[in-house]
Amino acid sequence: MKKNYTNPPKLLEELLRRFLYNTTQYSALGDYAELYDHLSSEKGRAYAVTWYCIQLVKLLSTYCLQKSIWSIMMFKNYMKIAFRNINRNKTYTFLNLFGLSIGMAVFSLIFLYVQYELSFDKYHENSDRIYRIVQKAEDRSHYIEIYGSDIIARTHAPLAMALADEFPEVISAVRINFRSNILLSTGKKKFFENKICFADPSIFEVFSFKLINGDPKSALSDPNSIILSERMVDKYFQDKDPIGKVFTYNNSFDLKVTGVMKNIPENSHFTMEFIISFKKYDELLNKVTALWDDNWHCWTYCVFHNDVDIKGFEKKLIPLAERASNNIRNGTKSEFLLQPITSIHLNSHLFKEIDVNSDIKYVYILISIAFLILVIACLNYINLTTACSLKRSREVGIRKVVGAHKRHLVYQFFGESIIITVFALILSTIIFFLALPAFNSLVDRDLSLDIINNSQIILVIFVLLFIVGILAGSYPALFISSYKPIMVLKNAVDKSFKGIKLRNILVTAQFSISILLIICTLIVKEQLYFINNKDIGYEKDRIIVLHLRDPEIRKNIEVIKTELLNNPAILKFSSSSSLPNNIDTWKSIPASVVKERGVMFRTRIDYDFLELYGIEIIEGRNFSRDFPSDETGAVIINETAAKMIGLESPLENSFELHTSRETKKIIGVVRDFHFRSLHKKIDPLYLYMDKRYSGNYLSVKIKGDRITETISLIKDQFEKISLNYPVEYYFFDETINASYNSEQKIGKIFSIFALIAVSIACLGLLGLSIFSAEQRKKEIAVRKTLGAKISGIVILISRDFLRSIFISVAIAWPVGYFAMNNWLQNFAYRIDIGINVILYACFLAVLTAVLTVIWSAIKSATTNPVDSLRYE
Amino acid sequence: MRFLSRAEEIILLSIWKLQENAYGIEILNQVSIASGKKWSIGAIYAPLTRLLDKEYLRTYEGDSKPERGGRRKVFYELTPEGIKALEEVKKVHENIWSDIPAFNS
Repeated sequence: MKKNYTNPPKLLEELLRRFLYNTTQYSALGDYAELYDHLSSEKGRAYAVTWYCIQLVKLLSTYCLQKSIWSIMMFKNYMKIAFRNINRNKTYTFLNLFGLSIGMAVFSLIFLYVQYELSFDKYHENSDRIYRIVQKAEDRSHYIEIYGSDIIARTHAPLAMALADEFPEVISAVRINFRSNILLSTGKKKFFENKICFADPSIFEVFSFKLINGDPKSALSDPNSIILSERMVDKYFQDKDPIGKVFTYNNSFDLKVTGVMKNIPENSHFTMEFIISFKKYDELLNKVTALWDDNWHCWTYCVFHNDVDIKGFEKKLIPLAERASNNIRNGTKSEFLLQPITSIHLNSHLFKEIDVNSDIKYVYILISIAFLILVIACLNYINLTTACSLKRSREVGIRKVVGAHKRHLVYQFFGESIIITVFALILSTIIFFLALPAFNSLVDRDLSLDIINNSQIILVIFVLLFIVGILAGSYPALFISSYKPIMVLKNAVDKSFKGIKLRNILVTAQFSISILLIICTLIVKEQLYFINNKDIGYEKDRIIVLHLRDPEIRKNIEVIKTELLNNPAILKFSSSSSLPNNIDTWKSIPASVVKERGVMFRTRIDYDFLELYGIEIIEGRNFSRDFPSDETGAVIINETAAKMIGLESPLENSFELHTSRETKKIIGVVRDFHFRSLHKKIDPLYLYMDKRYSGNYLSVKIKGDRITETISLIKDQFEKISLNYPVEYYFFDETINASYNSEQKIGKIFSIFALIAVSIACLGLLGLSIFSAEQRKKEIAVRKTLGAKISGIVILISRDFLRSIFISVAIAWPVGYFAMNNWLQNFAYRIDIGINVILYACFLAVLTAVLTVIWSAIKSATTNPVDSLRYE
Repeated sequence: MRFLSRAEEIILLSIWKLQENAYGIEILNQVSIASGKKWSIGAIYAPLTRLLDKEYLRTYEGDSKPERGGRRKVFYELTPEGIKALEEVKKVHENIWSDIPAFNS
């Protein structure tokens, strides 16, 4: 009888085959097929297929169980051995773990910082379409020398509206400007406030600033309205509702509170606590902001529709730029450029920025440091683990002999490195949170790790570090599992030449990096020391500076001066339009006066300025009351200016000032002093007097003792005249220090991370030297018995490592020299990188290394040979 | 000195009983009848494979059958070692089951 037969589906059959024992596969598959055929004809195809699948599942679970029982049993063994090892090598494991954790913690901190820096201004909804308009002015190339850039961040006031009206690509545009040191008073509270922003109502269309209270469309429609930030509401009103309350601005006019906005996030390139309508700003300046002129009144931002070609749009702005310059006699021809808002914080250093921006240099430096330190930590780990593995060579040999495949050994040692990595991750998390406050003060930020908000970052960091741990562990794992059992049992593994060479290379790499960091640190510190102690040409001690804002005080400055000078604690008193270290106004000098056309810096001073600051006059004389013409017709120039004018004896010469047609006689020449930071070279400068304007700054030189009393004395005098404005003062030497803030930060960063790098490298070196000493126990013992002295043995052990260190030095110093030279170019006044810096750095590194190695060398050199040779 | 397990014993005996036609499905049927429980193919093959490895069984092939997906039938037969193992187990069984107090059922 011919029978129809059905076979099980080929795919299922193939799958089933994998779960069957090798020897009886054929037989079993046939049986399954026969049963399938039987069921198929009895109960139908569907039933048969279902039955087949059930068989599959049954076999699957048995298969998995079989395999995993085996793996579970081995896993238990591996765990046991791993922990036993950790216990036996407590020192090494600890060194390893510690080094790895520190490396990971440093990396995480820096990662957090970098991620924060890169996130500036990205919280706006349309952040990828928000641009700032800046202008490149023709014929201002000298700005590059003076200000660092010939692109100007400020633009004309009518620009924003023109953009919004005439260009369909622009959704909305806004102008903003700021005022600082404004007295705001409401009720009984009055404070000087700095972050006051004037803006069009479209600010809420362009940016994503949220209003908690109030309507963004109407809050700024009345020019006499003001919006507060949450923080300011707390400051002025605590819990009460601020809407409708009234602020007095600079004792001149009133503003009504129409809204409360959420605090501006810290990661913004500009920030404000108050917003007032730009129309008010217009009013304050007598409506001149409607004009296209050279007074660039605001910063202009706009938001585009999707898919706008920015470069093409810039070209469209050319007619607008022409309109701007055509309106003014001798107007500046400009080119409008677009700057994405997200690039401002790290990359923008234009003339007239809102605030000093950070620099992408910091990000690069910190990223490099993060990687270097992580690399050192990993190299450490690899080194130590590989070294320790020699001890376990016997274990590996025996495992192989009883049947372990290389694969199993790799799993085992990988597993161990995973355990260490996990511990290191845990430890590094602890270190991370402990070090976070210190790190925050180091980089001047307020970073925090919100578990909820930043879960993505945490995940990234963990995965990254886990991978790093695995990679670092993979080398030792592979290395160990490749031991040949025969070599192990012959005890020939210890002499593995390749192992020693690799170890030395790793040590060399570690120390090169550390020495590089040390060199950078030392040079930065030296430059800072140089800056701090260089003779700047004027005194900075015991000088109090007061900002003059109150018109009442300005009117009565002479009265205050006479009163104060009566007091023996007050030595000198001077008013000026700038301080000796921040002169930044200048005028173009026509070629008729000087050898070639250029600029001279200038500032208004009074009779007592030069004496107060101890600025030396080398030719001629100071302004003097004996010569009444000094008040309008005299200037004092500095040496560089004298050279610029190019006359043999500049005294008794006069020069005409550009555009003011005033002729001023040169009555004296002062020694060059650094009126800007040491980043810039000393430019020509002239000093003059002008009774029409009273100065912005008051400088008071006091006797050093009882400073608090003297200050209250000064305050009293001010308050006698006017209580309108609180008296604000600061110490001159503090401001000078503040101008080198960024270098100080870099110096601190480098020194701390250099310290960490060296510590990690030394941890590694310590472990290695202990290990190496242990390996050579017998050799040392024999040498001692044959009469070697302790010193000889110490030298013997240290020799290998010291050779690596010297190579590190040779590698590190050219790199360090090159890199630091580059950095020093930022300063017009800088140190030369002398040989002694390099030598000092190398000496430090060698010293540390030697101390590390010596300790273990001495320990092993002084052990009793009997103990080492006992087994023999 | 390892005794046969219960399952191994049952399977060996079934194969001996079947003498000629002892392949997977037949063994399965025999064992299921004898023990009263329905065994699965996997339950047969685990001890079967072990017995093969221990060389208590050997195999010989039959004709290829289309219902088996074109595969041949694989028949099992006992080796002398297998027979010896069975006898051993029988002896132990007899020894241990002799002279025991009656069960009260």
